[in-house]
Amino acid sequence: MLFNSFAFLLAFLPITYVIFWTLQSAKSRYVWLTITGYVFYGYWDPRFCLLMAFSTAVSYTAGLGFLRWSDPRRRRLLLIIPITADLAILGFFKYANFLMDSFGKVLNWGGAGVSIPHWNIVLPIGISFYTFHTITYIVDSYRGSIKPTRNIFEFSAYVSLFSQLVAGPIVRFRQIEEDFERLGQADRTRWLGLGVSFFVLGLLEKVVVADTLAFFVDRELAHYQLLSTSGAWLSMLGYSFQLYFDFAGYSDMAIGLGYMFGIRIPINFNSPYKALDPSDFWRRWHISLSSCLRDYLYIPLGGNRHGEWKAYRNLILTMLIGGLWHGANWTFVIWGAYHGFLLAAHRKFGPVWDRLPRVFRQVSMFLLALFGWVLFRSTDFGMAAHLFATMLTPTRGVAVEGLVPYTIVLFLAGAWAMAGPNAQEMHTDWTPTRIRVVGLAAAAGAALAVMLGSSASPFLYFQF
Amino acid sequence: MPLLHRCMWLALLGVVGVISAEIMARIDDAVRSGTPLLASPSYTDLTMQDSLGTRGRPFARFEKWKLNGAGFRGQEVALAPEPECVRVVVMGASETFGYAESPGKEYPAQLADSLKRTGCYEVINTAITGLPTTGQIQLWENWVSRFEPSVVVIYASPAFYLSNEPPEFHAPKRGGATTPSASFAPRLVTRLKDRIDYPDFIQRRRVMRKIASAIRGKPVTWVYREVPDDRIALFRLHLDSLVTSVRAKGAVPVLVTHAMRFGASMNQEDQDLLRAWRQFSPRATEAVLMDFERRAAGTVRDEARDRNVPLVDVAGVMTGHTRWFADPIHFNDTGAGVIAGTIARTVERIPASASSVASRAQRSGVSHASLVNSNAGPRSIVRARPVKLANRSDPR
Repeated sequence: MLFNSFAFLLAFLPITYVIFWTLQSAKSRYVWLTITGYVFYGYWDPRFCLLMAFSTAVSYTAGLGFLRWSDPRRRRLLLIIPITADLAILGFFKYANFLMDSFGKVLNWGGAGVSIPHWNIVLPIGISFYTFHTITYIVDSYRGSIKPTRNIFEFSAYVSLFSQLVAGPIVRFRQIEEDFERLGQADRTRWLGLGVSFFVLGLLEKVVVADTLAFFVDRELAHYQLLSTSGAWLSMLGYSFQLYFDFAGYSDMAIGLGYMFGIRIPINFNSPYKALDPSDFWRRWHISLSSCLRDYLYIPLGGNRHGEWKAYRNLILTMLIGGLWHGANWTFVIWGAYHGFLLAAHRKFGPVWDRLPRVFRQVSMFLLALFGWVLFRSTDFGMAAHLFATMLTPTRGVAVEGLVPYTIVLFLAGAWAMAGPNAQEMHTDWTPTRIRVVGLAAAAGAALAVMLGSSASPFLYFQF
Repeated sequence: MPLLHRCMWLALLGVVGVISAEIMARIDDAVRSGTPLLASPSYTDLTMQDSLGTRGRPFARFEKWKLNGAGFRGQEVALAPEPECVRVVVMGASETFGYAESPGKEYPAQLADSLKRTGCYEVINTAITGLPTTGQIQLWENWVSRFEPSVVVIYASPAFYLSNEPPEFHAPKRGGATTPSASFAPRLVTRLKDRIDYPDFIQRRRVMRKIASAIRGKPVTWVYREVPDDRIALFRLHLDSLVTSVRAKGAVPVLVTHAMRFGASMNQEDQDLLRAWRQFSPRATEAVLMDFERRAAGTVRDEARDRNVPLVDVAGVMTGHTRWFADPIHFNDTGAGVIAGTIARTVERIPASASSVASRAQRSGVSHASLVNSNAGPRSIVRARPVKLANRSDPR
């Protein structure tokens, strides 16, 4: 089920909301959130609910084990076994074919002439996200950062919380533990206005901005071989803003939904195209993922504690794995490595970079991110190489269809992303004034009009 | 806040939301399909009547449909074909125009993609929604033939011949083209109507009510309980006339049998769709609708055999394959690919010499009879009577 579908807006959300607030106790609310989470997830394919239930049961059991045993050996086993189980499931569904194909290609380079079978595996939606949720819970329990919950309903409500289930943000248990504990005493009206405001703004970002850009970008990139230099630049500029508004819109909707149910979900985007350097970019883009990569990968690898070169290595390795997390394709791996190199280079030359004019740094960082998106958007290296070549050498090609409206939309989206306020800034000291409420009604009307005119388009990050 | 104030406040918010939605719908249409902000276009604005008859309105656009300067769906086309290339024109009604497919997936567009792989072909989609074979004849003679195609693919829709009155030839309009509708129509309402998907039982009731309303007050004999032979004969006559007219202009006609989604066995969805289809031809029962389609397909086969015209038996390939149809007769993207591939295999087999001989004949003014003779044998000469037919049925 998609947030931008009428099934969600007209049926799922009202029913879930009304019954949630009709229930009084925390336990009954946990149960209800669990049920609705599974309905939300099973709406796509009910079979995969079993996977999520299995992952939940394994992690919950590990949490109970951490409560019971303090012996380091047992605790280490409680860390390794469930994480291995989670990663094995993720690996099978997401990476099995990728590894087999890559292995086959390596063998055939050597002239082996081996035919590797391609399994017909359907990637369960959101598996990367809820696997991350359960792994962070296990690691935090092992480290003692959180006290594992004994309440199975509380834990299953956390894993299957529909607002963050299929495309994040990656919310760690400790970040919402407090609100979860007090769910029985939550005040319905306290954050309702804020929640609705976040949700409507997110809907506007996704449906009006991102989907309109996607209309042009998808059409142009479908025949990327025929694009001119200006066409390739316009397409990739459009994709950069489409991706941002698509994912930031989803995150804002998730945050808004969280508020509506009395749960504060942390911010996931903080105007990343205002970033001045690679480190700044990753502190602003998909914050929940980058902070997880930092806390659960970079720091355990040694971080910057063992000298400069190991810090560079750790940065590149962390980002490379982060790239692989996004998808089973070498383009994602190289995209991750590219950002790892950017972070390492900034670490090395940061003092020089920081002396450059602010506008130059912002524009340069945006262009560096845009080059990364070429890899991210490309289905293979051939497409990426073609797009790079077209963008960097003068090339004639077919004219961009609908150039004038596209340029106007691109300009408006770019101005908002690079200079305008983000959802978090717009909601600082938020009070439901009349002007704001009228503005929200207008925004909701605009988003619904676009939704009525087209079928609900999935969020880009669903594929991860 | 008192209840009255609260209600007024909510009403105001509702009004703001609706106005905003209407404005956004117009901006969205302008951005995605270039529809002017203040216009109130409709599907019917894609066609017009002028001194040439019924044809596509040049540069018209509505939702996903865009017409070029000649009033055809697709890219701009020059009047004269590319040298050394085979120009293929596809004539038909909404199935050919591309009613249900995604933009660029209508079967003439996919036919162009298929043919491009084998040689230099140029495919023009000249279909007009709702245009029966009589209109196709006028369209061909007055407009499409000017584009000098070598091959003309004809996908005629038989269901027009089950209307209350059979298709007729209309006099071209004098005094300029008809203009698009100008009355204000809220786009939000249009979007809502397109979006609303009634539950099956409500949809069934609506359809039944419409059919009942159409046949109310009519004598019992008004409803066709078996296939009307005179309508089949008329269909054949018009088809024959179009074939003759196409040959007379020096092109090679290709006949395509009409396919439908309904096969030997039908599930509940098929039955609902068949009944819904009957809304447009209430004079025929559902059984007659299906029989008429089958008989019409046979008629097209007979016509192709008798006139020695290349035949593409799409009905034989596709009828009954529900997964290729979006509704009773319109293709989905996959179905359009299937029919395109089927037609492509026949068009590729038409020898380049046949099409070039035809084109040369046209350009050098070789007589109609000798051309027909060279292409189709003596029988065709006897049956060639396009002008006569057109004149006889023309209201003028």
